[in-house]
Amino acid sequence: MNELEKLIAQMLDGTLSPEETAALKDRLQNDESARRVYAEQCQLHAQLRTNDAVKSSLQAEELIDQPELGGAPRKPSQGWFIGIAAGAAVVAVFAISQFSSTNSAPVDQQALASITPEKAYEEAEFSERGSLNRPPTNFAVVTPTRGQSEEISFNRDVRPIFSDNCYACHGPDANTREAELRLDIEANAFRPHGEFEAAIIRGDPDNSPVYQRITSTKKSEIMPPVDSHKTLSADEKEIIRQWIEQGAEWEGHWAFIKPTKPSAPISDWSEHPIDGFIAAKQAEAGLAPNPAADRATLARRSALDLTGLPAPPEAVARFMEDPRPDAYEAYVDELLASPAYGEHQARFWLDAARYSDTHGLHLDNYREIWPYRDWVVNAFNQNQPFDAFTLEQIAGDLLPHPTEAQLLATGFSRCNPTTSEGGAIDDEYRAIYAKDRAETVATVYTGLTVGCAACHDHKFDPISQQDFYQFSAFFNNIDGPVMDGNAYDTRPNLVIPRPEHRELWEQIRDEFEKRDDEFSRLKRERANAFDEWFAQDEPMIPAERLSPHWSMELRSSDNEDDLVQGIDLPSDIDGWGVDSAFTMVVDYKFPTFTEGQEALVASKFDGNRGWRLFALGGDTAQPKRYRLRFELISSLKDGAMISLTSGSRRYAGLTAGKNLPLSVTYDGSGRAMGVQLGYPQRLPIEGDSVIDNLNGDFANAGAVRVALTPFKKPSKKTEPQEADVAAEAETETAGEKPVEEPGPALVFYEGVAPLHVLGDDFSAKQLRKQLAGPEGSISSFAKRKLKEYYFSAVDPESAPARDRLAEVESTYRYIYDLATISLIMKEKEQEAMAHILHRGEYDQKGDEVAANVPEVLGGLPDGYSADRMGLAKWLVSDDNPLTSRVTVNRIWQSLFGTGLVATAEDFGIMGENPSHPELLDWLAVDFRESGWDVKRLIKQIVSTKTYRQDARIDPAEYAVDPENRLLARGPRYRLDGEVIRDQALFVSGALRSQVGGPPVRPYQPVGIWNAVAYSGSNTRYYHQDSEEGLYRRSLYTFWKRTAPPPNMTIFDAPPRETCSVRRERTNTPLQALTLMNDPQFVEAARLLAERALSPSGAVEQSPRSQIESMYRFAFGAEVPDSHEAVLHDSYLKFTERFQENPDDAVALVQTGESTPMEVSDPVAFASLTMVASQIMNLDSFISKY
Amino acid sequence: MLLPLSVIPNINEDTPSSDFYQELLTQMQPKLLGYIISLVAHAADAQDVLQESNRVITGKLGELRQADRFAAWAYRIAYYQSLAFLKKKGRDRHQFGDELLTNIAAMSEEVAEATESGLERLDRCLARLPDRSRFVVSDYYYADLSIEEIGNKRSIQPNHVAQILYRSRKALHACITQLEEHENE
Repeated sequence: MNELEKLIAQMLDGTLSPEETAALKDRLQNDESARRVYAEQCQLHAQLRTNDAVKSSLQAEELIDQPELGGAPRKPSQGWFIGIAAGAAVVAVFAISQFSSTNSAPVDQQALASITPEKAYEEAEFSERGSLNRPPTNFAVVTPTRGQSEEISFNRDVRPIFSDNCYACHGPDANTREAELRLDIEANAFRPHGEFEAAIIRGDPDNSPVYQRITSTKKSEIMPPVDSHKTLSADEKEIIRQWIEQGAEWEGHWAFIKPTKPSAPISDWSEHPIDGFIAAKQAEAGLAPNPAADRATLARRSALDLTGLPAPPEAVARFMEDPRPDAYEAYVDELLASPAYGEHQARFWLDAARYSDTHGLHLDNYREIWPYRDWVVNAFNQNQPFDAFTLEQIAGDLLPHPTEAQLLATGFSRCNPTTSEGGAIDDEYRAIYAKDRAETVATVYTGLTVGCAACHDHKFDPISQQDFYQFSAFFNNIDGPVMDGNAYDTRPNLVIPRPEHRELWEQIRDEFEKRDDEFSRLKRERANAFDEWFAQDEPMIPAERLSPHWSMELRSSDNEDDLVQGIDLPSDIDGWGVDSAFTMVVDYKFPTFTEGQEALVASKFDGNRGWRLFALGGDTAQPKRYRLRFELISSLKDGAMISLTSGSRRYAGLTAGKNLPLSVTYDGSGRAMGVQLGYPQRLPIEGDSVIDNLNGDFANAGAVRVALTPFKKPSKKTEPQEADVAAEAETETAGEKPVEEPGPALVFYEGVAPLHVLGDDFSAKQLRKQLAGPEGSISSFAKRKLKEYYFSAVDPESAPARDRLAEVESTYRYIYDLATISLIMKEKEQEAMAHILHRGEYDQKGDEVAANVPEVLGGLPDGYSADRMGLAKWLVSDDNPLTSRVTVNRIWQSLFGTGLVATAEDFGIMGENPSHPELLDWLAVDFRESGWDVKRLIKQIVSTKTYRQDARIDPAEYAVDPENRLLARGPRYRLDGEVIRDQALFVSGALRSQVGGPPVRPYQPVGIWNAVAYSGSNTRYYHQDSEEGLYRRSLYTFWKRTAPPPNMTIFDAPPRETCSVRRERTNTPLQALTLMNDPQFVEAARLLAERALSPSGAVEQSPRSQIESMYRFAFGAEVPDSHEAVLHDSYLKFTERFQENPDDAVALVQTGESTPMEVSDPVAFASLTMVASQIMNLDSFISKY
Repeated sequence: MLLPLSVIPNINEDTPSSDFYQELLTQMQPKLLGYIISLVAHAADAQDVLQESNRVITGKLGELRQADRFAAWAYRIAYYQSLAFLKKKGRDRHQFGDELLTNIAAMSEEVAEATESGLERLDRCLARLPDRSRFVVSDYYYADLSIEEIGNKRSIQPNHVAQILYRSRKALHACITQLEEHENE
């Protein structure tokens, strides 16, 4: 059978799904022969089904089997019985029918016409089927064919036809516009365009070119044109005819018209205004609401909706026994007050903000912005009004004297994917970032797809390319680099120092910035001075500025592992201790480390006290990098020491087989802050590794030991460890030859030697050689180094400024390294402008435009500044018809699964019209009038009878409203991935409830990051956390944008590459496999089983009571008998299976990092674990209902 | 399609009796059902709509002024009853849409009226079906077995059973139409 035949056969057999119905429609739509086949099959089916005589003839046929009377049970819904019933009904109807005997009047066509079927069916009543709650259907239920009398609505009836068929050529996009005709703007449609007369003449369809064209039969005239492959149906043409005839009344797009608060329809069902709106729509469709859900169900539903966690059994029990009339309200208040509420709401917001812990492009390195995530959580928990919430995120930095929190909030616009790929062009990415930020704000607040207008005017919505670039200009004015530098802290950023550093930070920050700016300014201003210096025949390179207190040259050796033992130091150096300020430089060649390996570079240590300098491989994230560690130890056994480790980042020139002068300074303060590591430029410190616990002297009688540097015979085996690191380093060090001459290899200086001076002195040696080379041999890289050197060491103005900077630099950088960073916004001083980019190409700049909001929304009103602050104020002003609608819609969506506007991301012309427009407006205005009170809005919605309905689905109602858009039943759908995981952790008792903090790395299959990451990425290797980090809420899971957590994406979590305000909801076998096999879920099942066992681990209780207990933890309610029976059955099966394979039982409970409980009967334990897993795989467990 | 003139009482004579219409309507039952099935795209629902249509037709007979319009009038009523049903079920927007329904209705009415089926004709055509097809048709339409049950009973793949049913209906339609043409000659 072909597809059409199959569909017809299925339809007649009553097994056609809605999707298949749609497919059938497609087949029949434009194919008359298909309709004929279809009609014939229907006819024959009906004949065979209803004609009793035929049936008896079939029966009489000898060859045909006799029906097996009394045999297998028949399907009750099959036709024979119905056939009899229908026949009987016909007879009955005839028996009672009354015929008028007065119809002897002459036949009259008019009279015949008056017997319209409309009249007939209007009086018809429909039999009661399905839910008994359904009200009588004594209202008109038929769509009348559009009579003359019916008013055509432009927005409801006409605009969809125009936008589907006409706007591509006669819409907002100027580039594709034909005949200078626009049908999206009222004025345009009614006046002459180009050489043509007005397209529409009000009241006169026959003389309106629009109508003439759509009804034309000439190929050259007909619209839409033949090659557009679009056709208008007869109905659509008729709508346009009637609309023109009725005066062609124009309406703006509904979403662009400011909402007003309609009064709620009265309903006897509920006094709640929201219910009034809902009930009215239900009545229109002949639906009636379900009864209220029972309290246990409601407790679970609202807990999942408000906090993303299930209700614990105690809370459910308390709620169920609460006799107060406002018990539910009290329960909801409790949920809203829980910190979990903010975490759950933040998750939706972070999808929209495309929050991620990595940059997202190229290396996809770690980015520190989690304090913004915590700000969002906190804002929801504090119930910050949504207008302030908006203002701070869009423009917190532009508030007068912004607080730290207000600055953090602007991270919203720093969550976009960024790159630092070699060869990427600033202008290109500046445009890309601005577009992303503009699109995000537009989607989140206005529900408009403005991004479409980046390359051309929007095809459907009235947003021009100019509108787009005006809008993107708001975000085109960031004071910071375009390239992220693959750094975690790309400026502008907010530094959140450790509490103990805060005071010092306040004192030093401004001074540092002032001096840094001064140095930068001088470098800029004195560029000519450098050129002059460089043009000299022999540019003067001053002598080294630091003179060593003591130094020695080391002998070479072929054995790299050799340590020079027992160097005799001058007595003063030998006695240097906790109060001595000193600097040490060791020439060292890095070997190739295997993971976890480290090498002693130099030490003076007696076994318990002294100092040690180590070289290490990289950290777990980047094992092939290098680090240094320096320790000052007063007592190793007591752990009394200072220890600092440099961060495992990319350092130019730090490659295997290369000599580098490693430097350490100590200022005699006894504090970690007084120590600096360098090579010789300062190395950043890994904050987490700092130990600052020195409580005595480290002077000791031990000998100095130094690892020998075999500089004369660089081993050919010590290849650079990572090709791309080497390549990267190459570009940095091109022209620089490794030090191959013997030189001082161990140097001590008295006092703190500024690392930049050490660096200058180191450079000076290299540079002298460079300058001595033949003319023109200096590479551009060397020239750059020379320039750096010049400003730092030679220039009479900038060199002193560099020294002044150094005075505060070490403290500043130490605090910075240990601080938490969060990316924020900062505006340049100039006005926010952007160029219109032809076809969206960054290098095809058109006119420059100032920041503004789209013209269709009125532009920025007077008094609003043309920057993000003006934008933010406008977003939440009464002038904006969209923000409040879009926002309440998203919250509605989070509670019911689908928004009142199903396309939460598109409120434009191509978006879906609201299912309940008046309700949407009512909510939007009410929300704004309430002072943008989010908790109030949520409470208001969950208090409705609509929300509190039972979710049971009546098949008849399902047929009418499969998507539950009319909400005649409670919401029921699969939970989001994060909620499923959090719920599993919660019911198993494993969930750690700590709010906020750095991202964590729970269970994840190895190799997922590796597979997609560049070798140089610091998120190449996934290193699972232990303890706490495994059991935090999913909100805190480290989000690597190019490889998001797999057990979230499998449940349709968006990749956070772009703004996402609505998730798809799919069901796939992979989800079940994840829930049954992911160690996170298997371990959770085992922990749930442990909860049901007695604390001693002895298996005393009956399996039944344990199953009941597990179910109670999982659902907060008692297990229904039917479920209990199935679960117990499973238990017995599992037991049987594990008795045969006791090793499996032991292996199962070992899953996960936590130590399994000591249980006397491993088989019982494993069986219970499997039942726990089964409970956590129940459809009801992974669904909200 | 109008009723054959021979059965239409002279309009100048007495009004046709209720029995007369009752007979017409009874004869029309299979046609109306097929017509309704094609609109509501659900065989079981169509039975309900047919009953409603019967009731409305019967109740409105007094308003019928032109006996020879009875069939067309009955189809119109069935058409709007089907629309009403779809609307009530909320399927009007999701299913076929107004334009397609109009087209299907026209086609179904044409096909129904062309498939003038007396018992004898269908009977003769059934007899011409190959044995296995006739068994399957019997199982399905007489014994009310489901496709799956038929498959089990006769060891035929379920989709093959559906295919046999489809082809049988097709063959029966061709057969009936042929006979009709033959008779018309």
